[in-house]
Amino acid sequence: MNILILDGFPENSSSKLQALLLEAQADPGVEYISLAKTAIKHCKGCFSCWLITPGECVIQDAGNDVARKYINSDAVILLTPVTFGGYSSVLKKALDRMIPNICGLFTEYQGETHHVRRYPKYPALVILGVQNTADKEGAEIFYELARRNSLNLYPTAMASHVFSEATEMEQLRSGLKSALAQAGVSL
Amino acid sequence: MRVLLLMGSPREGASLRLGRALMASLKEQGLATEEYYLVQGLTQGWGKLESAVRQADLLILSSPLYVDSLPAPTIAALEALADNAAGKRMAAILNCGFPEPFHNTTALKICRQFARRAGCTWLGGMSLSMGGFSLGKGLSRRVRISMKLAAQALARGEAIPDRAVHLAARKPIPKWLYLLVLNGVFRRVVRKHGKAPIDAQPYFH
Repeated sequence: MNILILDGFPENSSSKLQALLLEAQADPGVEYISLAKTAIKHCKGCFSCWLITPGECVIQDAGNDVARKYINSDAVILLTPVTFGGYSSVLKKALDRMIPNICGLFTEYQGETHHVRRYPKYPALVILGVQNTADKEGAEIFYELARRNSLNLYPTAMASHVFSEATEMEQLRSGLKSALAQAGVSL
Repeated sequence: MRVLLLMGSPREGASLRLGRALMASLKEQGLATEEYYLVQGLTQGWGKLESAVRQADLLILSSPLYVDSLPAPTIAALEALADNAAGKRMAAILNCGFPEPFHNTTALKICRQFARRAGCTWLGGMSLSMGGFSLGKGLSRRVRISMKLAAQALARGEAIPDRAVHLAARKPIPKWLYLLVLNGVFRRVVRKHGKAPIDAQPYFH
């Protein structure tokens, strides 16, 4: 199983969950990308990836490599501090560059308008958020965002979980395991 | 009262026009206006934005929807402002290219959550669909009216009224027509200018 881990923690912060996922790096099927240390330019909203160079972003940087790795993975794990209920800007700069992987055309999907899929198969998606202080409302928004993403990014399976940084390591480990299992992913 | 428009788009499209329309209505209400392109903060640092926010009483974020949320540079700006915007009032205008405005709902909650975290008074948000395409050359009448209603309330320090929210969210053309036209335009543009077929799969090994 090819697993891509996209770590969206800013450089000056860390999490126990991050440490747990870093352990998985030893597995040859796992690639861990620390986005804070990766120079990725922001999506300019030019729509070239839909209209001029379909499927490819015109910005030639690591953002392109991440999008390429994304679509060729069996599972992608997104890791982020829960930021105003959503993702950190560090994770989002990579996620904004994923739109070449879907097609600009509109279609009806699950009763709503969405973009047409570009590829026959997309990776399973595991979206993990970490809260330093428990915030129920923030967690609810996070789950909602993960669900919205799963409608637009066509993952074969999806799981999301909000962890509290205060959780003990062993409890965190089993929580991570069950979140991964929910999307059919094992590390 | 001083109002600062936070431009959340890296482009100069629908978000700019909507934001400026609200700013024009706020100016009519006697407010002093200023605007800042959030994407500039990525290169020039956040100091300039922070001082503009310090001088403002009301913050208006106008932003497009990127992957169900705010664009990365907009989130980066909000991260920078989380400890520097206490006591301000805040409202947001979000727009998306989908025909249904509900796609913006989660991003609007994220704006509200930022306001809560930063200690701003949340005065609500407006959600528009069908992107810049449906706004027309000048803004349509319903958008202008909704902006005016919102501005009247915001100038009094009140939340954006429901009527303004509903008017802004109204679909200018039926969904089926929008999909037909947009998909047609997409196909035509790719046929004419595209360097690969519209359904190319360049990243697949």
